[in-house]
Amino acid sequence: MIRVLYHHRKYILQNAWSDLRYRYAGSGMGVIWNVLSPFAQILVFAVVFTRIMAIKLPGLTSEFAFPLYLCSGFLPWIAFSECVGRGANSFLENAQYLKKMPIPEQVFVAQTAMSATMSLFISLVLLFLLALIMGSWPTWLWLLLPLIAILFQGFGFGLGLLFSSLNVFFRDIGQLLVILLQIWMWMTPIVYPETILPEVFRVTMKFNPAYPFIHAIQEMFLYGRPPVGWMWCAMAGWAFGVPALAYLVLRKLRPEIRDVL
Amino acid sequence: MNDIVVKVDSLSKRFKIYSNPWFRGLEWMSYGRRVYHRDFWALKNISFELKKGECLGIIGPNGAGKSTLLKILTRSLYPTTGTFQIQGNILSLLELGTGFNWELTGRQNIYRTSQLLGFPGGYVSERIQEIEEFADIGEFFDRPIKTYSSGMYVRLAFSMFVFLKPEVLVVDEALSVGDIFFQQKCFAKMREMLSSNTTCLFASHDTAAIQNLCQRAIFLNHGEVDFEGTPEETVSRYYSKLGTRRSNAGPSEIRAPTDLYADGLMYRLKILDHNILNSSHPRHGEGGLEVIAARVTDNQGRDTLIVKVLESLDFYVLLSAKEAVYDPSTGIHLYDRMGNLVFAAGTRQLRYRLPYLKRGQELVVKLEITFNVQPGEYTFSLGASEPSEEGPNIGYIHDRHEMLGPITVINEETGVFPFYGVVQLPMKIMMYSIISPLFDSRIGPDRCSHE
Repeated sequence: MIRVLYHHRKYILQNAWSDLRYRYAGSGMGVIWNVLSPFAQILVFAVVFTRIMAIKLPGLTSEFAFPLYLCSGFLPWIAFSECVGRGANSFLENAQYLKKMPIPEQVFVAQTAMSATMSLFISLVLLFLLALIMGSWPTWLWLLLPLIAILFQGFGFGLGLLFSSLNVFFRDIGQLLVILLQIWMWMTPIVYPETILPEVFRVTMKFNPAYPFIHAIQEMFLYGRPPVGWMWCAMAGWAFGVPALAYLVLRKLRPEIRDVL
Repeated sequence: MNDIVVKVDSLSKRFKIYSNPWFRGLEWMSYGRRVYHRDFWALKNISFELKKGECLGIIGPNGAGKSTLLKILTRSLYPTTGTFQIQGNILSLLELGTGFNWELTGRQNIYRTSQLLGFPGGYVSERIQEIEEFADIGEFFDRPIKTYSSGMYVRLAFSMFVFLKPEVLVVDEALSVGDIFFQQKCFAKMREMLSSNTTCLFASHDTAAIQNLCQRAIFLNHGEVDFEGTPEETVSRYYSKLGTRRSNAGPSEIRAPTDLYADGLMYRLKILDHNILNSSHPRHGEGGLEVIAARVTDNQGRDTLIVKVLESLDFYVLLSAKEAVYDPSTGIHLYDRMGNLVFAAGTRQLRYRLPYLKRGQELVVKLEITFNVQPGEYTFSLGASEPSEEGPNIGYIHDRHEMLGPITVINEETGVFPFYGVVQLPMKIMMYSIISPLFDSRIGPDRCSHE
């Protein structure tokens, strides 16, 4: 699979980039909307949670702490859910290519994942700038952030690939995923701090596959604490295991996928 | 030396038809013990081989499995059983433009799509100039595809595919695109590729094109090879199976004759006024005797390029001698949409001698041609020449205007078509009545038995 993706790397990169550029084609601000809409959502959450519900983060007193916390969890999540949600539809969206050209299927999922990752990195750069302006001092640990983000996206790519193969046969999956991703987001401490959860939930949190990624990023960004051992294991497991599983499923279903498109 | 390029061995393709998509899930869960689908065999046991440089035609009605077969060979579908081997890369005109991105320019798209098809960037760079020239879409080559007309789109796509020079080319109905001039160019290019050892698979309803390009053809019916043989045999088998008459391509656009002047057609000014020659057509020649204008009318004297089958058009050619011409001659070439020369003749071939022309003298020649040809579009060229030193059949070309027209030959009759085939040849019919042998004393059965 890796060889195939490497072979088509140029196509994937170019398409991902033009996807970002042209998704908002015709609108005045173009590319900027990619970044603007998640930040607007973050702003809303920030106002609701700090002003209306008055939530405080443990150990941090700065007024900017909560918005930064939101950003550090929400931006990766947006990119991840795009990987899964749009990835699952990528075979159907690109049916016209798949039906007529001998391009390997996974290229299209990779393309979606790549465009989500690109927009994530743009957002992260903005986030770093924002953090600097708000007075956080950069540490060497920040360099680990892109690595974790990539692992998270790898996990998203895997899920996207898995569901895109299945979605071709059972088209309800695409719709179902939209709902499931919503629920999943609220079950993960992204827009609220983990501390407001009852003890029961905090224990089960370890079984939430998205938790180690999100938690690692938040910890590093806000407290400057690197991820602990079990979290590295979990992240690597999901990031490599799920794509491998998805590839096995794809290989099994491949002969029939183009028949039903 | 193994020169078999394409080898298809008992290839079959089954599509599973489920009445509800979730039944497939039930089937998976039962590990195949229960069956919820109906089988549809789009291809059954197809086998054939193709040698290098060969062109195989695939004929068949809609739904016969032509596209499925070609998609399997281009590896966008997987066969259910059977195998196939292809030496070298295979490109399909099925994909004509499907990989193009609307926001990118023609040039960018060519680079992008060829990368996608696995050609390295340098390979395209070497050919981009030729592609641009062949597509002949001018500055649009560097404009986004979304601004293209559908004709330009096809030109770009076709140009790209022929210049990528695959070892095996798959063509599916794609040659019936663009205007007649581009079609002729495409056919010429296809022939050139075939002669330079490109192997070709050509699926079409266009039986004339198949007979023209292919050495062999198969007739595909309900997913099976019904017949394999020469294109002529296969085509006739196809028609006999379908019980349909050869369909005649109708005119793409009918322009009403415009001019009603019937008098003074031969006047120089009238010809200049109604001249059909202009600088956009290719023109070559030594220039001693020029065709400076030409006019085409029907037999009522109306300017038109549309003619009914078996009716005639008059071509008025205005010749002008730039130097003394001792044995002037003028003539016409007529080409069909595949670029085949259908007919060419001039004054010399008809043993019609034109007078000696002094420098500066002009002459009008009328050529009246009856279009006993298949309905469809034709192009023509007009020229002026003199006999050359090399022999009676080689002319010294003074001036030649190429790619004129198109002339549209239409058929308005709904009954029996006056002839089938490329042209109507003169044919006479006579009938002799024979006295029934029963009453003929010499060869009657009684006599025979006695002998």
